Amino acid sequence: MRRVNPAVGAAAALVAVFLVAPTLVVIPLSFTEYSVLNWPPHGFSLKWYDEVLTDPTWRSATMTSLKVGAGAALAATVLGTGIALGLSRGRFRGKNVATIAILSPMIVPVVITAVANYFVFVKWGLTGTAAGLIAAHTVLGLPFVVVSVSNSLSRFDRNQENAAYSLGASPLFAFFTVTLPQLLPGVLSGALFAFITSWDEAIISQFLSSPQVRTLPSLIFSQISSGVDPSVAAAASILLAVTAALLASASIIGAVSRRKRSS
Amino acid sequence: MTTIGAESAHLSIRSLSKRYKATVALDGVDLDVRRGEFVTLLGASGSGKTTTLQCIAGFVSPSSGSLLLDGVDITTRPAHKRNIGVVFQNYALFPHMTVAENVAYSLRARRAPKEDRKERVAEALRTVRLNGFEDRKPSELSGGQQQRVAIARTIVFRPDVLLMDEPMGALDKSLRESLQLEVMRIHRELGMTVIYVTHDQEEALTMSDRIAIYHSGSILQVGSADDLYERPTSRYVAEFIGESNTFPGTVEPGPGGLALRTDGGQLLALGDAPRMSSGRRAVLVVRPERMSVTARGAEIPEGANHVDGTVRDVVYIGASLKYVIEMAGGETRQVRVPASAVDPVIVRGTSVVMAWQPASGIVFPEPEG
Repeated sequence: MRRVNPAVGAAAALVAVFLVAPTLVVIPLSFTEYSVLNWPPHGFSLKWYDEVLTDPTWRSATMTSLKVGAGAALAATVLGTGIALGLSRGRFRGKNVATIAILSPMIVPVVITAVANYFVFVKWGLTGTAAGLIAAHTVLGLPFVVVSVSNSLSRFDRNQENAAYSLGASPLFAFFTVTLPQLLPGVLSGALFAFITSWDEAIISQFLSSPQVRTLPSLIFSQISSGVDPSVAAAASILLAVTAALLASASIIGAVSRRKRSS
Repeated sequence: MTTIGAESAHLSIRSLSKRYKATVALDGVDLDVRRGEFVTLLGASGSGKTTTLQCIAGFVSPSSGSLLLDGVDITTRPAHKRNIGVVFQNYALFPHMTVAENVAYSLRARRAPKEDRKERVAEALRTVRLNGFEDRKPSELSGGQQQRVAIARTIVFRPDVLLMDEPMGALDKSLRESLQLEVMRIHRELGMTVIYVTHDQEEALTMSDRIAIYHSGSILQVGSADDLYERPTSRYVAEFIGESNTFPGTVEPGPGGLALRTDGGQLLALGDAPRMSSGRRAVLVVRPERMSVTARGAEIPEGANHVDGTVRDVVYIGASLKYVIEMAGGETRQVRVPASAVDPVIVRGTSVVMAWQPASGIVFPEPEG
C-alpha cells in the first residue's frame, strides 16, 4: 500500500464528511420521540420504523420499489450485457453514435428523460404501472451495465472462445460455459448499480407514479411536501441502508475479482 | 521437393487466400498433408502461417480457396464441427475451471457419458504426465504444466488434426526442449496429424517430417529438413534455413561452362546451373561447411573456386570451428570446419584462401531491374 500524505488524507476526509454528513442527519432524526421533525432529535424510539414497516402505504411503496428495482436490474443486465458484447465485437456503421446514445442517460438531466417518458407513456397507457417504471428505470440502469461489462470484456481473451469452439462447443454453449462465467464480476456489479439507480430514483418515479403504484423515494417526496412527519426519516434511513449495503457488496465483488486476477 | 497426391492427403489446402481491407495475409497457399504426418509452417511473423492455421481451425474464413479433410470440403464448416484440435501459444486454458474440468470440456460439449469422461481425462493427463493435478486451477501451474494441460485438453477428444500455434513461444529454452520431445512422443504414440506453426528454425528442423517455408503470404517450398537445406529452390529459403555465404554477380561464359563474375571481380565456376544465361544477374550461395580454408600459398584442389581473405575471427562452436573471413572489399564470409580438421597455423590475421567445389554452390537468378 502506498503511503498517503497526511494533508491529502485530511482534505479527503473533510470532503467525505461534507458529502455524506447531510445525508446521515436523517438517521438520528428517525429515532426521535417527537411527532415533528426538528433538530436535535429528542429521546429514542423505534415507533417511526414500526409505522413505516406496518403502514400499508409505506409497505406498498417499499414493495413497489423492490419489484421495480429487481425488474429494471434484470432487464438492464440482460440487455446491457448483450449491448456490451455487440459494441465490443460488432463491426457496423454508427457504432460510436450507438455508444453515445446508450450512455446518454448518464448525462441527460433526469428531469428531461422523465418528461419525455411521461408524454410517451401516457399515450401507451404505461403511466402509473410497474411495467412503465421498470421500462424507464431499465434505460437509466443500462449504461452502468454496459460500462462494467465492457470493462470485463476488455480483459477477456477471445482465444478462450476459439479454444471452446475447437473443443466442439457450439457458440451458445461456449458463451454460457466460458464467456459468461469470466464476465460475471462485471455483470454482477452492473446489475447492482442498475438496481441502486432504480431504488433511489425519485424524479421519473414522481412523473410515472400513481397513488396505487408508487416507489419509496416518490412517496418520501410527496410526504415531505404535504407535511413533515418523522416516519419520512425512518423510510429514508431504510432506503439509505439498502443502498449502502448494495454499494458495499459491489465493492466486495470488485475486490474479489481483482484478487483472483492478480493471483 | 516432395509432392503427394491429393487423394492420399489427410488435409488438403487448395489455393487458400485471405485478404483484409488493404492487406493480403494469404496469397494462394497449396499444401497436402498425409495422415499422421508432422508438418511445420515456418516463417517470419506476418508471413501468413498463423492465418493458415486459423483458416484450418475455422476461426477465420478464407477469401477464396478451399480446405479438404479426407476429401470432404470443410471450408465453410463451423469451427465446432470440424473435429480439429488447437493448442494456443498463450494456452487459452479456462481460468475458472480446474485442470480436470478443462480437459473434460470437449467431452462435456459433446455430451459424452459421464462415466466415460473420468477415464478419458485420466488417460489424457497420464499421456502428458500430469496425473495428480486434476483439482488444481490453471493459475496454480507453471507455464510448461499449463501447456501440457492444453495439450491434454486437445488430445482427449482424439481430433483428426492437431494444430499447434507457436505452443512453446512463451517458455524458456530448456523447458522448450523437453516439451518438444514430449510433443514428438505424443505425436508418435497417438499417430495424429500435426500442423505446427513456429518462427523457430531449430524447432522446425528437429520436430517435423516436412516443413513449409512461408514468405509474405505464400509457401516458397515444402520439404524435409534435408531437402530444404541441401536443395533450396530460392535464395530466400537458402538464406532462411541455416547459415550461408552469398556471392552476387553477373553470369558469363567461363572456362568449363557458365561462371559468375562477382561484383568484387573474381570469376567463380558454377556447377549445375539450369535456367541461367550469360548476362543475367545472379547470386551464388555456398554453405559454410562446404568451404575449406588454407593458408595463402598452400595447394588448392583441382577445379575448385577460391577467394582470398584474411581471418578476422575464430569462433568455437561445439564440435566445429567457425572462421569469419574478410575479403578484399571488406565484406566477410564464414567457413565452418570440423574441430578435428583444424589447421593450427590459421589464427586471427592469417592470410587465407577459401575454396569450394563448384558443385557445392547453388546459383539463383536475381530479379531483373
